[in-house]
Amino acid sequence: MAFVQCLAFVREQEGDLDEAESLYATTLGYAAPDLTGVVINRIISYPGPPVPPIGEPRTTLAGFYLTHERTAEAEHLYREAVNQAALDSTKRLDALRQLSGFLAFNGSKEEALATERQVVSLVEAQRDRNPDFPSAIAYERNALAERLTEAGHEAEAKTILEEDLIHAEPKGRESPEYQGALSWLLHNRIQAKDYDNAEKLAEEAVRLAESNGAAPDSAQWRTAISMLAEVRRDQGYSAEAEELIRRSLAPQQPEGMQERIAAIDALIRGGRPQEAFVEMQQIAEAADASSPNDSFRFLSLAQLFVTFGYKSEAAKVAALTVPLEENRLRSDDPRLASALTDWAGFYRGHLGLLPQADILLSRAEGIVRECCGMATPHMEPLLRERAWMAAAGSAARIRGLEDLRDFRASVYGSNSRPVEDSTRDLAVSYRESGQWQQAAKLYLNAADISARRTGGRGFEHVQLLDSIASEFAAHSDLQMALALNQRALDRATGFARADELRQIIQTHHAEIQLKLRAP
Amino acid sequence: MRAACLIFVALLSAVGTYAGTTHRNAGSKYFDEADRILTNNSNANITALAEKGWAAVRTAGPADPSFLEGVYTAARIFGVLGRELRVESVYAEAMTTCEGPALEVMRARLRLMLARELIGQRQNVKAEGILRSALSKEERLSHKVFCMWRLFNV
Repeated sequence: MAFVQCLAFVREQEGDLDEAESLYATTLGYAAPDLTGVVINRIISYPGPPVPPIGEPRTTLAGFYLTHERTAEAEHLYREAVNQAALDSTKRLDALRQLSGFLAFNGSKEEALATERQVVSLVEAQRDRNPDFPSAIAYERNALAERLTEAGHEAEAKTILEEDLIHAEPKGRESPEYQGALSWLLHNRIQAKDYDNAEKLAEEAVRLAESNGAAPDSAQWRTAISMLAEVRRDQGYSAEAEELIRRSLAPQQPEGMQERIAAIDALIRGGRPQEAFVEMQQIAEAADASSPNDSFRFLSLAQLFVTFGYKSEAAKVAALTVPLEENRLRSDDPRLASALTDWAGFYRGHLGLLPQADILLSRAEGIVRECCGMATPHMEPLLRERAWMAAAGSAARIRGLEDLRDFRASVYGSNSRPVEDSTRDLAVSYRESGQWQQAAKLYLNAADISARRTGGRGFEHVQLLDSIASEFAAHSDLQMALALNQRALDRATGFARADELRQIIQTHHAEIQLKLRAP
Repeated sequence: MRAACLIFVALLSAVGTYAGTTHRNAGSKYFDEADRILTNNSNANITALAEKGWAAVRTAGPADPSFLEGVYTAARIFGVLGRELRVESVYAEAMTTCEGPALEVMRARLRLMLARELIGQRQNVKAEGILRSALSKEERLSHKVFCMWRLFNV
């Protein structure tokens, strides 16, 4: 079961939705896989690496439908899961939670609220059997408050979370229980646009972070400050909000660094590039060897030198910074390969120094080959950079882009999003080199990949069809343009902003019709 | 940014869970030291410690109840070092130590862990190969069990 769900997820990532769906469907009727004994990372971060959903088959398939904007099918499965779990209170609880979450975004707010009330009742009924009852009920009451607010019952939401805050107070204001309750009430007041109360709560959170001895660079302090900033921004005090954000970020920078960078920036803009470079050299000598911020700052300053026409100083900055990167990172670290590739891009794109770029790319390639082999996503920026080293529209550029597309297909799957992007880039290159027939084939290929990858639904797919139709119209292949435009029109329904997109496509439709009627 | 990196490294050291809790394993002494060094310096070279930890896990072998935890931790640390090929070879070596029908379940768990690792790295095609091969092995196994059942019940 777990293998099938993982495989379904992989096929989904590879852009084969039909096979993914049928694999998910084959698991229906079975119990959720038992992963006892399997050691996995159970912390999911956003944004983070992709994680296959392994679990109850019906809700896993419903999640797939939801991802691909097939809400009616997802809703059917979520409701079915609730009905099927009538006799098992644990399963029923899970199913109700899923349904409530689904309805909150895709259905009736009142029904989402009624469903969440059932969740709270079930959790309360399990009080004696649940060792984690206090945290479980607090979590569900917060979810209930969210649903109440969404359904327009702000006062009841406020009462629930204020009660929870009062209950948590005897444990101490420094306790995780109190701070958690405070945070939930604060979020709820922001959600309800009750900014006066939100401001008071945000100020209390900042005071608590400070009195807890939280250092100014601690996550707790920064979170509290950024919440206060969010409230002040929502109240219309943008400048004050920006100042708060600036205060929360400032301690991360070494003392005076921000001012020194600003001074270099001013020197460059003021036409004093040599002095700016000397200042940069001094920073480089004192740079924290483990700080990735420095290399980022140096790259932006190097770009600023180029913008103001000081290419020789920009080249000196590059020559100064590459060894810094090599000292900062281990010689076999793929992050070094990534940094070298960025600087290769700078040598190529900003300075036009291809031999230097080539040397850096070769070194980066050696590192990647050693640590990760050639069939790894770490190779992707290298291949892209190699392709861009050739002149736009040249045969070498096209060959490079083909290599990149084939590489992406071999790693991510032949109908994956990166392959679709590569196919479109290739089409543009062929078009720019005057080879429209090749370009046309590739545009149609990109449309096919997109249809397969998205199931032929959604804003992105429809917009792609419309833009490819415009390419065909621009190259006087009006019948194909009309067919693609019509396909886009037929599918411009059932997703957010569909009407807006439909109007644009209709305008293009009229333009193509006009060209067709022209003598 | 640096603080965020350190938090990330600290989190990494606490995320491997087996039935919800972190277990000690044969290489923990080395792995803990590696994590401690990484928490202070995310660029530190702790390859030797990771190798020592992995050698201890391998020596303890699949009979050790925390074998899979050890495999996961070794792979995680090599992953933090950016050594993807070594991560894969750790799993390959772990599977080699699980020869024989009695350890088929252990091998299946290792395959699933490796597949998830590859999916996390967006290596879809490679993950697909492992999953398809794992599924065909599972099918063969269930067919074998079915044949045995028929042999004794017909």
